[in-house]
Amino acid sequence: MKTAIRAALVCAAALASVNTTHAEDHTEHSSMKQTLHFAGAGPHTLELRAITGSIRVEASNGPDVEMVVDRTVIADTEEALRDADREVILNTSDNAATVGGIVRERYQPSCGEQFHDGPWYRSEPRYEVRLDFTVRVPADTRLQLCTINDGKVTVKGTRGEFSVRSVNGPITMTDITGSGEAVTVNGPVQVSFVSAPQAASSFKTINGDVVVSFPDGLAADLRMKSLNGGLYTDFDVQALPAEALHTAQKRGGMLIYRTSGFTAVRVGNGGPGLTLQTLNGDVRVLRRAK
Amino acid sequence: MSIQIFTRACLCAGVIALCAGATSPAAPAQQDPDRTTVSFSDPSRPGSLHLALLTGNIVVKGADVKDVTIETHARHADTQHGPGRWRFHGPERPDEDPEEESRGLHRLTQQPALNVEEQDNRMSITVPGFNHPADLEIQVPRRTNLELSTVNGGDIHVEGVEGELEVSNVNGAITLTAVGGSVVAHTVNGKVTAALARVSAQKPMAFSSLNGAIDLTLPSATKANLKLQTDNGSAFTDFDLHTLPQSSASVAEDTRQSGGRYRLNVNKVIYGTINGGGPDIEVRTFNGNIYVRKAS
Repeated sequence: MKTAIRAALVCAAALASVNTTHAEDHTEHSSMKQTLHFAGAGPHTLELRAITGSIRVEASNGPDVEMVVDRTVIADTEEALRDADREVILNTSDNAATVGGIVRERYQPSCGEQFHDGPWYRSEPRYEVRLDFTVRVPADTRLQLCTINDGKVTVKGTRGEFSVRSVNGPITMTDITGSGEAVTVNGPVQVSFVSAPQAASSFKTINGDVVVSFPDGLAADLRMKSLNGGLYTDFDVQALPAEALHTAQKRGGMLIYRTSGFTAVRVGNGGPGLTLQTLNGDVRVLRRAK
Repeated sequence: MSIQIFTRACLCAGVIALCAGATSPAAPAQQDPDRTTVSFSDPSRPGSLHLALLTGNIVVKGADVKDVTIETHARHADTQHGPGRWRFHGPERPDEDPEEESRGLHRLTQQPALNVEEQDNRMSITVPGFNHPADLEIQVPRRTNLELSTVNGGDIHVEGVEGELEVSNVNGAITLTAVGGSVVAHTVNGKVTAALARVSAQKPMAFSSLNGAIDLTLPSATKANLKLQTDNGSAFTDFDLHTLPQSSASVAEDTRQSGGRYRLNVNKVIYGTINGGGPDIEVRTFNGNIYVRKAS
């Protein structure tokens, strides 16, 4: 999949592009719109990997992926502005089972990638580049979304599997169907399902609430944990046995035992395992409003 | 906002993801879920158990066993916040929930996490998290050294354990029953009750509180030098206490030679020996009586 994306079009080949530049503060804003076509056997997947910027995905009735990318560059100098144009690019992929885009920066791995080999320290870039994605996809599209900074991720109305990851930003998924994972570090995770996931799914953050709502008649096994918050639900639940002590690991001469600290409850007759976890915040599992 | 910060954030996220992966549940469900059994590396020697809780009760009982068994009890969710007495399980009090978003929802009782580390016969138990009170009931081999502490909403109770016992509380009582060896027990707000079945020769001991009585029972043959001090209370004993002259409790400070002053501090301390004297036993409180009883 990676090679396909690498070989793909570069942002410059965008179908439509508008540029506005303000020389005084060396800020550049541009917007580009591109239609990406799925090809080949499914599952058809939208893969977006950003570094700085938000991702917004909405289900549509069309067969193609309509992607709008708003690019904002703030630079110290005019020269830095030109550097940013050269050093931060968006590689898009089209006409494949997986379409989408990956933001490439010269020194920075994209979201979900390992760090480059090389010196840890380097001079500060004299620019900041932000790419905000607004994408309309066929409802069944599988989503692989990943962003790091100012990384607000919003998904609406999709029905495919999802892997949604951010670091500094909230995740909000509304009226969705499907199963997968929604994980961030700084920000709440809020998900509302039209119909309950049929496979194991997880919803995690470190700083923020995890709020997930399901329709009536949910049948699932919930594993929930919050270090500094509470666990709440308005479903009728039945406690499952606490998870056994996590078996020992040996570090030096020390034997370490740990429990997982998860609280497990069953909703309805039980079903797929749904993990909801935060460190600083509450976990709320709600009955979806009709 | 610099890119370097971004990279660090990303690294942090990676580390967290790794940690999360490391603690995902894969453990075989062999053990009783609320109960955890951990062995000392050399059961032929007395081990030592260290436990520092922030909120919760600690009960430690000695038994003829080789391993340490730890039972954790989550407190019922509706008692996890707010003042009042803690309880294991109780009726729900819906008016107690302070959070707007969680109104009308059931609050689930969280299973406390538990970490146990053992090295060189020293076992250390920790319960992560500030807001989740956990009550621990631990069974240990009779001969075990203990170092126990809790801060809020909990009492510490030790029964039938012999060894070096160091017990510390802040807002709660300490009760030691049928223990042996040597004891250092201190609390701030609460009573200290200690009944020793055996006393280690030549080991000094201390029992103290700020607001609370101290009730100490010693074997009738205990040889000790007692130092009893209560600022607002009285001291009682049925031992034949040979009090030492009060003057020994006074401390004179004379710096007149060097242009200073003379100061005499007369302490309200009762010094005395029982059964001819022995190691020091200090019993001290600010508000409360002191009882030193002879075991019957």
